[in-house]
Amino acid sequence: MKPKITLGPVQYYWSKQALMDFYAVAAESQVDEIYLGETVCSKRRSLNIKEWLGLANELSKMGKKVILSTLTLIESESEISQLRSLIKQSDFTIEANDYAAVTIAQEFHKPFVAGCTLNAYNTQTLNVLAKAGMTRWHAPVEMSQQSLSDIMQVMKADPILKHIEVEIHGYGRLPLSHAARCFTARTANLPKDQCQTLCIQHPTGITMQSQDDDDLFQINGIQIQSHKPCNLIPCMPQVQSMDIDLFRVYGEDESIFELVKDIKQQNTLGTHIPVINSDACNGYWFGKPGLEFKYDM
Amino acid sequence: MELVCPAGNFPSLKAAVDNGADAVYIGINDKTNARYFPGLNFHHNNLHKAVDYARSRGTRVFLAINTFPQQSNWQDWVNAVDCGMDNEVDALIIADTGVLHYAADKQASTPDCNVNLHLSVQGSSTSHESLMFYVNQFGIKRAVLPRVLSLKQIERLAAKTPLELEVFGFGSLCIMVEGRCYLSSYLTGDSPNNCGVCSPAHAVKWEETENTLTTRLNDIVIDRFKPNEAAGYPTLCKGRFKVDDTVFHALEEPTSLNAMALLPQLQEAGIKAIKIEGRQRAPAYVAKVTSIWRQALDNFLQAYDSSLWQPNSHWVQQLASVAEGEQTTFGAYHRSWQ
Repeated sequence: MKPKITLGPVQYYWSKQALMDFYAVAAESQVDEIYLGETVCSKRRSLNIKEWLGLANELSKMGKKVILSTLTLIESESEISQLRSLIKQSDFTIEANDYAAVTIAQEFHKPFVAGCTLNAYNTQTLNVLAKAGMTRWHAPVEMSQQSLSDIMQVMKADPILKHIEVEIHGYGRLPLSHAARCFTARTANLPKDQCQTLCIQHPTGITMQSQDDDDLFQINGIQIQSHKPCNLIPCMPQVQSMDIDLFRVYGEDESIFELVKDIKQQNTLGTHIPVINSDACNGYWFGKPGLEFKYDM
Repeated sequence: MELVCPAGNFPSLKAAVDNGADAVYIGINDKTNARYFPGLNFHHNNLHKAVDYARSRGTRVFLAINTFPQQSNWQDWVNAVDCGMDNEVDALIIADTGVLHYAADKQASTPDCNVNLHLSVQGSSTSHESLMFYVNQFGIKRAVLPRVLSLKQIERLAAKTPLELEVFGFGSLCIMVEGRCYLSSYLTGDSPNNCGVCSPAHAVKWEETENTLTTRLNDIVIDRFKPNEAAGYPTLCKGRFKVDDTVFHALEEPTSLNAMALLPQLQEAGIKAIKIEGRQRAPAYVAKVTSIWRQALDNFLQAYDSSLWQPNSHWVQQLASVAEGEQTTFGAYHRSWQ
């Protein structure tokens, strides 16, 4: 039943044990598909390529469809060679979060998911990507329901694009920007090259507030996230009526799997998940500032 | 090395051309460009004046179409490309893959078309492999690199890529990889990608109390200034925020990029053009910055041993005096900044 629930790649720097524990629970959970891999910083090396692929195989054997997600900001030769090795060695679909991954996927004739940072905002862009091997498109995080609906209407009438799956950021903190600078290191007055991989001490990032104590953003290495999780669960009837294929959730810990269970139950039984935590956001969906939240549909 | 200068309107274009820009870049007065500010930019029907003036003085014109169309407003970007091609600008600076596709098709089907395609900095392209996507698909001639690469990374990239590379030399510093920053729309609803603005004026509030000037974006406090502090425009990433109960510039200080001292290395790397940011700035600013950079580039290119060249301290001071926060940085070019 649509939408399928996908689990986004862990956004933070966790130890190998923490990752293994998390994915052991994921394997038993009700998520349909799992995105694996490091998407934020190449210095985070709890698992190497072989170990990611091993984990992917394990999860696959347990019935989960696996997609290998890739780095968003690629700056160095070593990052490119890691990316090339991953795409070359993998039998799984990859998620391209940068056009470098698109080029390499084409080189090895591998299909790919177009991640949200490829900035595909229109069907003309999607057509180019589909010809390059895209099988699924994750909408940009700032795209509104109206824009998405406009684009999906055209996709449905297009002989190529009608086969492309559509995915949205359904639940979890929004990836809002990436930089050369490491902001976690900056909080400790350290330059990135001497960052001491401090991120591992902050398993859900560091909160950045306004001077009036509004929780605004989450510092996560070179990435800035929204502090509030985006929550489109209250919009599920609309998501279903639009025929969106995949609803991605991001976890900060294992409680995400309880939420997935509730979403599944809501989708099959028509139960309503009460919005307990109003400290969420979904403004983008309504064409408003992203931090706004509407849950009383 | 070519000097590429900003022109938000005709007086700025004249200022840039008259003070020695090799090329100017301009935008159309709608969401198709990343400086969609009130009173700025050119109209479809007067863009030819810009081209005529620049060309008569040997200056090239690039048209920036560097934002991302949604399905519903796609036609505006098509019109912008058509306008640039009809007016025979020298290059279109494009960010969106779909728009590049349209422009490349039009270029191929237009006999004797001399309009080049450049990949905008908003295209977020930071590697040879990424650039090759645009080369293979659309035959782009040049790319503007995001301000996130270190000098070493630029040198390696330039050694590998067949493309002309343009890098930022001076002006406001975007510290996030361009084209992938949604911080502004998260607070205000408008972002560079979808509206051509960052921290837009309509969301700004200045609030003066007895001892404090507070700046807000959509009611969220971006900074507070004491009477003796210079208050700057509340660009989101340059504000002071609280982390672990300490208030500081958690992302970046209000500062401008100035890479003039890096000219020897950039030249050695084979960088083709230096870009000056600032289509939103006044004609007097454009005149001053263009004139200083022209002098510097001419002086550099005539230097007996260009590897030993250093900027004149007078130029550096003059540039700092017009820089944001009156201070400049090498930004990501230097690893220590990162």
